[in-house]
Amino acid sequence: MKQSFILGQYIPRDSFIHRLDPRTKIISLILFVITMFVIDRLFIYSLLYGFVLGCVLLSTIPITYLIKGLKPVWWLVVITFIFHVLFQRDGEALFDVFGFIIYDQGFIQGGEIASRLLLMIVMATLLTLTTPPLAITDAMRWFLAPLTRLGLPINELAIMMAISLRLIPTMTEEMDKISKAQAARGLDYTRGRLRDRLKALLPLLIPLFISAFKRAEALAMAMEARGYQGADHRTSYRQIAFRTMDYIIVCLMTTATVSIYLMTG
Amino acid sequence: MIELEQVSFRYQNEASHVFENLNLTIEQGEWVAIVGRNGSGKSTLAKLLNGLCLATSGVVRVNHTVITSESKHQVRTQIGMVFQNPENQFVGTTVADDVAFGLENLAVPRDTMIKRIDQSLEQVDMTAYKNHEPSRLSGGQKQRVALASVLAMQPEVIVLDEATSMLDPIGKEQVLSIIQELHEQLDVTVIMVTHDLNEAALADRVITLNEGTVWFDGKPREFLEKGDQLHEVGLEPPFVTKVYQQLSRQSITVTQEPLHYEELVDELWRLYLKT
Amino acid sequence: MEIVFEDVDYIYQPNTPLEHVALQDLSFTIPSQSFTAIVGRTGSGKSTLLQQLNGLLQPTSGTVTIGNTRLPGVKAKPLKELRRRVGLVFQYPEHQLFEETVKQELLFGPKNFGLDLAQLEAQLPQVLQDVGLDESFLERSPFTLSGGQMKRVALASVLILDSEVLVLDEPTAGLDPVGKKQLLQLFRYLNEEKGKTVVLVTHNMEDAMAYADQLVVLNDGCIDRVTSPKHLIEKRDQLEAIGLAPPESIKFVDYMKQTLDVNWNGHEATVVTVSQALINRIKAGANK
Repeated sequence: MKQSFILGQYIPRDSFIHRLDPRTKIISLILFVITMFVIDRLFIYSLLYGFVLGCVLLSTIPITYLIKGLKPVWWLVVITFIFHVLFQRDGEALFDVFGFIIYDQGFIQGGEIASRLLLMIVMATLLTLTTPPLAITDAMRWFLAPLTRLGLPINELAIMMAISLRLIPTMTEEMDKISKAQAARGLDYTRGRLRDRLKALLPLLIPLFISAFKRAEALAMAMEARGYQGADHRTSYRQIAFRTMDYIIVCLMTTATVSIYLMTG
Repeated sequence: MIELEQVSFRYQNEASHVFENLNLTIEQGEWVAIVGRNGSGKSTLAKLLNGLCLATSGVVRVNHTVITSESKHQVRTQIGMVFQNPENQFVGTTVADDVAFGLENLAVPRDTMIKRIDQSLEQVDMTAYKNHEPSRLSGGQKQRVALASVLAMQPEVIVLDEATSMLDPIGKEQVLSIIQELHEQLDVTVIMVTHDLNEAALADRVITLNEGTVWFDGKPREFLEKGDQLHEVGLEPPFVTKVYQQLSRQSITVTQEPLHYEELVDELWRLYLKT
Repeated sequence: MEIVFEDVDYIYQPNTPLEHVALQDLSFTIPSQSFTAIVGRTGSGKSTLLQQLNGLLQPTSGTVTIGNTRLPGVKAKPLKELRRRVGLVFQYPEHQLFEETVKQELLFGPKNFGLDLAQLEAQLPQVLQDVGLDESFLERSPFTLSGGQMKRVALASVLILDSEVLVLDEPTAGLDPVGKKQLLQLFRYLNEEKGKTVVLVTHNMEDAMAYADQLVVLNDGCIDRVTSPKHLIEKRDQLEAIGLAPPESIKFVDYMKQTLDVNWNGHEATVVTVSQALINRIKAGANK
């Protein structure tokens, strides 16, 4: 398994953040993103940085792990910043680099946009790092539940989501196994011309598709054998429960967002 | 309990029949092992019992209900099935979720569900793993969860389709001892498809399939008496059976065909060496 | 080709919260032309170990020396050469098939390694025969075959490379007893007659003890012992303690010794030796 990128991974711990209801975390994430887009004062950004840092510390996930795991994102952030610095034409001209006139607004806007990008990704990553994927599915199902009245198959979607999540580790393992089995037969898809490399993907993709189909068939049979007849008229074992702390957090987050909006508005 | 009358079955797009005119009756509370080489039709037979395959002609009855495309859903509440590959029957994202799946399908109220989940996990000794994800379980543990999922639905018949064949010896032993316990305590009917003859020797009755016909149907002892003839249907006699054959040739016999080594050794002691 | 492990550690995802030590401090030798079985229960590190044998994984620390190649730190080209010389068949190899015909499937490896295809084509019927299939399979699609036949084709697709070392991960899983025996006999033949080093990775002590001349017992990522089947017979309790089930024959001998006070001087436990011991004991009579 590749461990270079960690968005989407879940790390089981027993922290304050881990224990929150997934809906609380999703609502908070949304409020946080809204806040970021309404404000335009630098000092509030420092508040936000502080807030994110606090969340990371509370989650007990090592900061170094987060920093290393988000390597590709750092580049994106840096490039965004440089791009703005070079091409922003507002504000006071500061100096000249190889024909590019650098304006102070370039720094300010570049900093803002790069910060938004960075903070948003860190917070989203934190959500997945501290919440089991299934809990996220449960929360989404809860948010979308009203739509079943419009005839949308939300229950089916939730089951599909849950089963896909269940199969991700299995399929990743399968992919790893097949690519190793083909490497043992001399396949090398990491070198050569692009056309050859693409061609070399077939011995991986064909067996992977076949196995996915077979697995789906077997799983469908196992589901049927256990009385599955469609996603409606079922009862549900999983429940998500709001606790006192969740109410407090949602209230605090809402108050903070509104007051920041009023203060800067 | 289960009756097959003149059952024939053919897979779509295939010319030859897996079975032709098969007749079979399995009584309530029996433990039946179905053995045979790969391709002998034993897995297909298992699937006919709960309507995953429907007979091309003839009748399959479970508790006097004929299995049809309408009645199969109702029949499935009485027949639980554990399949071969542990990886391909784990539906839930955690152990408890997986056991819950069948109960959710039956629209069991949540309070009852929680009780039944705890109870069935207890029965397969997996309570400690209730919130584990499947990727952190061994094959044997996954099969025990599959068994718990079936038990939670409180079936009258449990069908095991080569359920131990992908497990290591320890996992195999655990699953078998749980089945043995369930059979004794709950009086469930167990139908076990296997090609492990030591496993088959645990049953009350052995049915051997060969090319879609019943080659043998009887007690495990009579089955093992066949000795080398088992090779004809692609089976390997257990070690103890081979040893007993050698002894018989030297006119050293015991009162009945031994099912396992302890029995043979004990009998030899009793008959020949005890003073 | 000799394979030497020296102080090998292997760690998955090192320096992350998901870090997992799979192998710890392994040192042992697989002698050239031996039939070595690597045994251990599920999760003992067997599959991590076998991937070190042809450089699919390379030790986190320590070294693996395969012939004249030393891991870690081998470049792509010699690594490929290594993989030709060490043929590896994964568990359920039938899952790796993808070509349109069995023939193409068999020639996939040789093509990748740049072997002489024209010459190999003449050998195809023989390779198929070795795994218990015949020439008529060459033009068939692998996906129309039964599971057992697919497994044989996948095995043949590695055998065709004529590697000096053959590494097999639970090669008989899912086969019926007759099919199982055929394949194990084939591995013995390749080892004894063709002089290949065979490494069998399995949790089945029955097969390991019947076919291997050296056993590497793994427990929890460490070497428990390196021994011969003959020596392991006496250590039944220790096997059970690390989650390996002793073969039925050994349990039989144990029980026989205990109950009947049979002389057993440590020879191999087969149908013939066990029955002979019983016959002798009974002839000696009750007042031995």
